[in-house]
Amino acid sequence: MSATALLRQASSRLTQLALLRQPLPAQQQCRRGYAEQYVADRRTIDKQVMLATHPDQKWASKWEPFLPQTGAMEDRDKQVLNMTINFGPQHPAAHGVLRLVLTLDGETVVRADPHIGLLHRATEKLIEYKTYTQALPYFDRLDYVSMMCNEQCFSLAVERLLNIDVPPRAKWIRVLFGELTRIMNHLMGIGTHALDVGAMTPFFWMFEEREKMMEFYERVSGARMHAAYVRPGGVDRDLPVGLLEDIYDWNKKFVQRIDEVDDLLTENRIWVMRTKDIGVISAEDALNYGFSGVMLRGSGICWDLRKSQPYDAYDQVEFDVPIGRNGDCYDRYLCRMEEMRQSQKIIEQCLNKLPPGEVKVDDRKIVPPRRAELKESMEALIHHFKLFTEGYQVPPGATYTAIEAPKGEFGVYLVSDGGNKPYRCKIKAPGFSHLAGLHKLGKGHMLADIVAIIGTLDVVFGEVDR
Amino acid sequence: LVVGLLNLLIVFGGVAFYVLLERKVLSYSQNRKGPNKVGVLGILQSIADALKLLAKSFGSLLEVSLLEFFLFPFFSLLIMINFWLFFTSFFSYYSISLGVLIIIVLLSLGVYPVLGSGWGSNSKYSVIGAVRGAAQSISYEVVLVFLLMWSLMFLFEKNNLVFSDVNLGIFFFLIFFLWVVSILCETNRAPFDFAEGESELVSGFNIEYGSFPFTLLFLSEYGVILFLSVFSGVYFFGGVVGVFWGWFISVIFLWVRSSFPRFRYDFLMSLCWGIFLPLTFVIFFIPNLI
Repeated sequence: MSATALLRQASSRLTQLALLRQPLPAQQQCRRGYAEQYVADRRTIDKQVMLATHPDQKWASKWEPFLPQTGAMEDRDKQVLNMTINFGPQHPAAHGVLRLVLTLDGETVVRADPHIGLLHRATEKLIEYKTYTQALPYFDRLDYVSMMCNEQCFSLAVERLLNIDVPPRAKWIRVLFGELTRIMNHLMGIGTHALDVGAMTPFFWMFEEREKMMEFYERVSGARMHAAYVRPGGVDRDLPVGLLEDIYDWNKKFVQRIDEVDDLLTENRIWVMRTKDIGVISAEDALNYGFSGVMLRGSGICWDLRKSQPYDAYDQVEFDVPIGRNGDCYDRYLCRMEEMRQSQKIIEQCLNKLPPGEVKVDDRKIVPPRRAELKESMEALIHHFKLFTEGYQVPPGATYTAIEAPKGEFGVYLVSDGGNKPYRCKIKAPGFSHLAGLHKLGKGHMLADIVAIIGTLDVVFGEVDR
Repeated sequence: LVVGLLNLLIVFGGVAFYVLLERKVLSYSQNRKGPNKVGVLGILQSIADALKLLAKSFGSLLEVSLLEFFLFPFFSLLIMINFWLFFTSFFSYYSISLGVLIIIVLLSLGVYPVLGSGWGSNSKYSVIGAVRGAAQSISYEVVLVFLLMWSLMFLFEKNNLVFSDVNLGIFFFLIFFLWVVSILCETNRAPFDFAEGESELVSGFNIEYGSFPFTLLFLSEYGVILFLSVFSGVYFFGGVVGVFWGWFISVIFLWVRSSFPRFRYDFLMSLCWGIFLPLTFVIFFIPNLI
């Protein structure tokens, strides 16, 4: 290219750049000093345009256009406001969909305001329109990291209203899978907590263990995660051949896995520094805020529903319950690790003590018969038909049944009016109250600690929002 | 000129494979295999990544101030290139102290891209990340300079101060350890990666960056890491052996990343100003007093 052509090109580029540097149209002018005067952003402009072009629409009249008022901005540059961050719904550490509006003073949190409801699926309303068997899978999806525990709670509630007692084998199977689920939950809780604080390795190790447990779920029920296995009346079907040997093998080796994670985190100075004296809550405050489970035990309150109101063969199993002292994140972490070890011991006892027998209640009006019987017995056919179309009737009554779910106290308040559908099913989720205490726990800490605190609260949004 | 370009080509290749190495090392420490589908053992993964990043379309640019947004990644790449160019040239042309000085200057300049790109992204998270990263870098520069000075004391003897090698030599491993930790801090890396602090700030100062500027930022970050590790190896252990030590140090970077949780920002600052700096002063001045 000739020199003149080059020069022409260069000069045209320069003028283009100069054009870019010209002041932009009035409403987008001072992009830099935006704290000092109001500048309408694109969204507001669009809203105003829409209002102007759709004068007849009903919704348009409800919008009020924000017009900049002259003279109102004069005090603005003298105010130093705290910064409000939207620790938004799409956040790797927000454990689901949590919109946390944090007001920060530098790096210190002045106010933490969780906005929930982004995962609301109208579970309780939908349950009112489904029979009891159809309502069971909803409970899997509430706390979606500990599935069988939720089902266990619902089944216990329905059984209490039905006034039936399940056979011992079913109880032991429920305990076995309940403890497996507890381990699954704590693996996920500690893994994600560590990941948020920065240690990425235990997360992967723990999820490998979770994979092995999901294989057990799949062998027992057919589904890796949402196994609609624990049902009112017992358990859906008996354990397949060979499962108990595999659980025993896994159980033997599991202690070493916990030890590996222990080695990496518990004595680690950085971890201790990040979690000690963070998110401290006193025992009195914990009770007042409605905490339950590990949040209470970390502060020193000796309360475990498996010991105080035993359900489902927990009174025939020996285990200890770890109690913390300071009520900080580190104590709760230690409680969860120790609970995993105790669950491992419970599983061992279950494997030894599992009695032979049936896994479902005899009453064919509640529990469907086996498929093989359908070919021979007319009554079985009729029962099957009625149960799967209309469902069983539950006598009128109301019950609040709670279990020690891995996250805390998971309760179901079930009201029945005598029909085949629940009249009202209110779910008490532990994560709901725990999240409500986030402001109390997090005030005065730094941004990085908020992440650690959310991790230690062990919230899962399926149960908070339902 | 040709040698310089060849040098750069090798550096870029090294950085690309270093990224792959990082992924493999992290994965093996996490009990899984890293990328192993693309090439023989995943060797071509970096090239695939580079092609993908270059071919990706860029997101919206509504609220960023264009000048800073595009200037600073290029600037950081420039700094990285300068690091490597002066490294080889100081072997042959310049005296060692001058080379070290240039390294220090470039490290200090490395603060600006972080600040600028964070600010230019016009997002609160980026600003937090940028400010943290910049403050961290400038704090640890002081520590680094003093640690470098310690070695230089071996070379330059003052008239009225007599050193014996034993006095200085005792502290070698301590100094080396402090140096490695300070390098980690300086490059916003491993247990001290707040500027990216993934869990808190969703990728900190480079939230708004798309494909191409992102590539530049990360090339420059990894280039600086590789350079500093090789430089540490050569500086502390000398000669050709030093280059091997340099590679070992770069693996240490990756290893440490997978092993430890993240520090908290105020702990980092107190570590620097409250622990490292007094320690380096003590080590620096004790031989003088004796």
